[in-house]
Amino acid sequence: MKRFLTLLAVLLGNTANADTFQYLYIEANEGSASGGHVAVQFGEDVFHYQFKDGLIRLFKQDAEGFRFDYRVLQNRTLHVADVDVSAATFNVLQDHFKLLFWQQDRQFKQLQAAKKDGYLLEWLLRSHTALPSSRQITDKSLMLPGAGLFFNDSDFASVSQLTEPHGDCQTKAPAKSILTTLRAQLALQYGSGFLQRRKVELTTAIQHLSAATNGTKDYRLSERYTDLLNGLLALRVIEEARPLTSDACHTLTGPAGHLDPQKTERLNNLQQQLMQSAQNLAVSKRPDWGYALLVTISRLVALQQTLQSGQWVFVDDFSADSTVIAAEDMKRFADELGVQRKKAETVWQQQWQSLGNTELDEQHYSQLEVTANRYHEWLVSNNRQTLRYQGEQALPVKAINLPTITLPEFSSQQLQQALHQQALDTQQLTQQLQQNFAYHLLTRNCVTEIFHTINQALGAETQQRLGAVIDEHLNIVPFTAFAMVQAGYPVKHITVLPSHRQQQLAKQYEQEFPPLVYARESNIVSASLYDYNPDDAWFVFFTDDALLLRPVFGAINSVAGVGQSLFGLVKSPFDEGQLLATGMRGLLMSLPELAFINMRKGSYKFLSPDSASPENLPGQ
Amino acid sequence: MFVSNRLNLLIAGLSFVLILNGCSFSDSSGSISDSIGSISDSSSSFSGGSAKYESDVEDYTYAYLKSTSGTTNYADFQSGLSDIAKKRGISDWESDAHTYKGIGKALKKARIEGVSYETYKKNFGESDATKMKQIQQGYDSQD
Repeated sequence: MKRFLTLLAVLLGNTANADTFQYLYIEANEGSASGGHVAVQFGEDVFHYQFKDGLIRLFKQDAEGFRFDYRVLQNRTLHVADVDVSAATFNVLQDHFKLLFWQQDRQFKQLQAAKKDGYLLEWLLRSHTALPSSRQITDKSLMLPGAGLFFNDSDFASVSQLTEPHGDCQTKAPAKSILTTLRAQLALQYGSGFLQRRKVELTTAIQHLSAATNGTKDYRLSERYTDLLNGLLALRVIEEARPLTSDACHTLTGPAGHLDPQKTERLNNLQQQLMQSAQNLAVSKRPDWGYALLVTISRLVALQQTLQSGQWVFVDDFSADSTVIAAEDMKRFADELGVQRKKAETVWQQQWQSLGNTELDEQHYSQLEVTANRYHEWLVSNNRQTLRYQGEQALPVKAINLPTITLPEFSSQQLQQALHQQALDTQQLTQQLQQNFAYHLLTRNCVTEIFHTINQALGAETQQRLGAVIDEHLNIVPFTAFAMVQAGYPVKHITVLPSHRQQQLAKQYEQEFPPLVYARESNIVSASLYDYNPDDAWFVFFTDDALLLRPVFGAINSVAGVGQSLFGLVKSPFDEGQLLATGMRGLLMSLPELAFINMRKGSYKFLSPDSASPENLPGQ
Repeated sequence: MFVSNRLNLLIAGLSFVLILNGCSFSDSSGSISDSIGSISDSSSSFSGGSAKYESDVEDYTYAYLKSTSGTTNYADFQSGLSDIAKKRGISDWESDAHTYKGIGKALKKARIEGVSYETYKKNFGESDATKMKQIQQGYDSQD
């Protein structure tokens, strides 16, 4: 009755337009968020605080992806509270979360940029004293994104120092044809000698870069330098009509992807658009126009090759540090991966077939490129026995180390001074972040920060708008915080979304003899719903549906953890203690089960929405 | 008995700490967390298409305006815009009308008016008539 009156008061007290946001509680499991997790959802966006590098950071994630990740892959049950609020309250809360997300994002980028300055300054300082060979390898953050589409590191160093990439990307003829046309158009639009003039302009700008920074929020030296260098290289590609590097593109051979006249027309139109973009970018004032130009001309070359050959050619869009599935896992998870392969093929076919229906813009082409890359990756995995699984980019980023073609004219003294200032800036930014976002188990975690943000957004009106003020200092545990939300906020409805395994189990209970299902699915040896995932520490029994037997199962799981730890100890000289750490984690996660607290649920590494049941799809 | 009690206490304490230990860990690799996801799932980068991109630009610009006092550093601002566009598969965001409509919406949301608005419009639109018109369209589309 009290809750009903609170709900009524909140709704009547606000405007007539009501809206709903969701408070999500995610149950515990092994691994990250072992004690559970919380999040809030506004429309399609989920906001949640995650631990990263000792700090607690706000993340914004697509709701569909978030639910799939936690509910299916991490196999956790989700509890969703629909909180009814006025439209005005909804907007205030949503806007505040968004504002904090973007402000925080910017602060972290400022720190990243300051650190990047440090790497550059040290690199430049080395270049004053060291041999050219020692300059070649730079920090990852200093690499030139996009430049690797047309250049190899070996183009700027002796081949003996670096390995040449291998691939079957042959684009000499299309590059010559399309980039010569672009060169002519640039000359027509901006006058003959444009490329030369622009190159001189950029070289001079690099040479006269200032080492001094104007505060921590500035567009920093390392960004200026890498942006200018990328511009210089992009112009060089056009000037030399340079082809893509041998591993920068791939061809989808075979009957799939036939280009009919309508599709050809769409691609011709897109090519015209990209030609115009390339011309605009060559004189753009945006700082990173060089990278954008490299991407645009790489796609122009790939498109030209496609149109000339009648077979799809796409730029490779995987990043260098993509997650790779090893041959062993390819075999072990053959069923799950088979479903994904089929899906990749279907999506690719659907996309290119529907190509003639709508006009193709750059964003659509990016999507087509990603889909084609996925499908192609599956095709080549047959021979390679490995698969790049994660790391695709919506825009290609193939990078190279910093080339020493043009250097800023800094003296050693200027560099030392700049390095000193950079250290101060980094220290200041780090301290600010530590002060505002340092993680603390009891006082600043993902639960406290959600309530802190809500209370901060609504201020003195929190009680009036939400019916309660949930104290962030007193509510620090995901499980109990959810109960507080239920009791205090105007919750209209609670939905429990069972984890993937629980949902599949419920179906089996309906269709088969329940005791048999229980006996079979209670352990990993006979379970039909779980194949051992190497990311999970060893365990024998699932304990999420075994309340009474939990301590017994927990004891056996603990023994499994001890066993893995001992095995890991023996293996530690060969795997840097990885197995030992996993075993210890398993033991740690099994001990609470002795006290009737469930942790071990297992997780799924390669399930796709298609292999999960329809009801289990994200958003259901 | 003493050992057993201590063990129970240890287990209870451990359980308490683990229960408290909420919060996911974020991917450590920036590039992977920035990637569009696993090879299997639907690419959220493209879901919602241009509307989602415009909304991101609006939110980013609004946050930028709110946290920047004094003169705006346009290179820094544009660098952030590039990051947003990059995740959505757009390299030439200057030719995309949604960029400037999003900026216009943010200016309205930040309640920037009069001379101040005109200055922002001119600077964000780089004095280009088309871009400034698109900013105005975004501005006018908000209540």
